[in-house]
Amino acid sequence: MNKNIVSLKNVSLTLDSKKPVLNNISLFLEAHHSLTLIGHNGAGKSSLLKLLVGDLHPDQGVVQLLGQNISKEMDKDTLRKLRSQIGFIHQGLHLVGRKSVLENVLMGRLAHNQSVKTWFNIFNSADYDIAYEALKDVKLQDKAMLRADHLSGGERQKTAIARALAQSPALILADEPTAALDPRASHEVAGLLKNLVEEKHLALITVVHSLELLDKISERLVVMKKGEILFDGNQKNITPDIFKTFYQE
Amino acid sequence: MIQKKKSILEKIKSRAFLVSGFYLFILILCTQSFYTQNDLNFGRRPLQNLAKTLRELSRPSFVRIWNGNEHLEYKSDDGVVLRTEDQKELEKTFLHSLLRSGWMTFKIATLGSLIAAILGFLLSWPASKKLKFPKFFFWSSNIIINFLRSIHSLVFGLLLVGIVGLGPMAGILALALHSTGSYGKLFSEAIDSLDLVEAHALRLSGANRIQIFFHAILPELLPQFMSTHLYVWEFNMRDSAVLGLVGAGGLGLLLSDAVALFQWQRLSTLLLFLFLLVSGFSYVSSKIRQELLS
Ligand SMILES: Nc1ncnc2c1ncn2[C@@H]1O[C@H](COP(=O)(O)OP(=O)(O)OP(=O)(O)O)[C@@H](O)[C@H]1O
Ligand SMILES: [Mg+2]
Repeated sequence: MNKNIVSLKNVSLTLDSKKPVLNNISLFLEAHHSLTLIGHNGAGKSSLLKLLVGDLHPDQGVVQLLGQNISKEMDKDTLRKLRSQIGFIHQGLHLVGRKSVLENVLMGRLAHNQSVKTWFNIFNSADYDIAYEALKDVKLQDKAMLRADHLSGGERQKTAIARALAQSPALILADEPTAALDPRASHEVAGLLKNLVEEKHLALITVVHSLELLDKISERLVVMKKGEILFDGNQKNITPDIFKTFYQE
Repeated sequence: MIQKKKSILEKIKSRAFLVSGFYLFILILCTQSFYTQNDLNFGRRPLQNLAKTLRELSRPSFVRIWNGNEHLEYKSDDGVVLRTEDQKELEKTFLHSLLRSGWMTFKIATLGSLIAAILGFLLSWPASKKLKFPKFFFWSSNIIINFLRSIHSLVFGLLLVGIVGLGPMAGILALALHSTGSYGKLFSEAIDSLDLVEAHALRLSGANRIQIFFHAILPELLPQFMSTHLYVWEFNMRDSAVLGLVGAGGLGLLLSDAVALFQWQRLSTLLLFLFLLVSGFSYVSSKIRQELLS
């Protein structure tokens, strides 16, 4: 039995250009564990996360999620079922601005409740309970009825987290969840993610760009550079000087 | 780098020069062609005619319901009273038919627009570049849209009067046909400007296609669609008023009567009424549109 929730074996990915975006990468993550991913702009972090949910497909290597192979040819329903268990907090958040916070969070339930009623925004009471619980987890229950595009950056970030939580996920992928937040809000959101993940025994992959946030999120650090993994280990010994070298040419 | 930027600027400049030169050429061509045919003249006595028309128009007929002569006598040359006319009563009857025709115009515009909105809605999806429908559907919907758009509702009206006969049905269908093209075009442009990232995010969370449509696509589009609907509806109020000219019912019938009988004072009342009708509608619809798009 493979208890890795994520496994990438010798994965290479090339998009438009000739230079590979990911070059022979191997990465494993056990269930209930967390890792933090850092690397310069364009290092391939977002691409790596997209591989995991089958948004991109590798040229070479094997991508496994929850023990199942992800491939272009795989059955659509299987892929949908796998995706339903992954809470993806996108780099641009991608909330539906005209809809309320609660409605956005309820969208996390869509994959679990495919009834026709959901087309017209009618959900089970169980779905409502889960969504409301998720909002409480991020302390946003008072803003449930506010339109998403009226929220502050931090609140939007929390809404995206709540939507991911509402999926009842086994794994959360958070692509720069603290981008565009002030230092205090960054720490709050990072701490929130870490606590929630520990409380609910989830696995977590977070992309961040700052040294101070590293220990707020996970012990394990993975550093990417130009599509390769430069470092994979405990972040405890990473000093500011070493950190700087990760971003050097 | 700077060199490159400069050459791009040069390119933009020379292209702008070319475009404006071409435009100037077209202008000269048009004017020159009219001039040689001697079509650029204002008739024999333009100023007198203008003054006369304005004088007539400045005395709209509706004031007669207050100051009209109740015993206007039409006499023959030797002084015999041929008939008497109650102008007040006559004007009242006219205003009555004005209201009835206005209501008819509104009904034609409303139903015609609704039918067109539904058809345009259906056509706009395959016609959008963004959604990448199979080529056949993309092209055929675009051809239909552009065909309908290029034919004025008045022309459709003329055709339809011959098919379904005089009356409002011809008007409704004429508006519906032409505006289906307008709706299709405007709706598909709204779809093209849609950002699909939200939809994509929902797909990656495992939602199915129809759910994505209802949760991430429709909510973004619906306000724009409704705003477009109000806009075209308002537009059709004007078109529908003119459709009466070809016998498709509504205010146009009165318009063509007034013009045919040289009743400029009635025409003046009619135009005022039309102005109030359209600007009233426009005021309400722009308020609603503001609310929708905020
Ligand atoms: N859809 C795509 N088509 C072509 N190239 C792409 C595409 N997506 C990403 N790339 C390229 O792949 C490389 C890695 O992009 P990626 O988004 O994974 O970087 P990243 O590490 O997430 O960077 P950032 O910190 O800026 O978010 C970049 O050079 C980018 O231009
Ligand atoms: Mg990225």
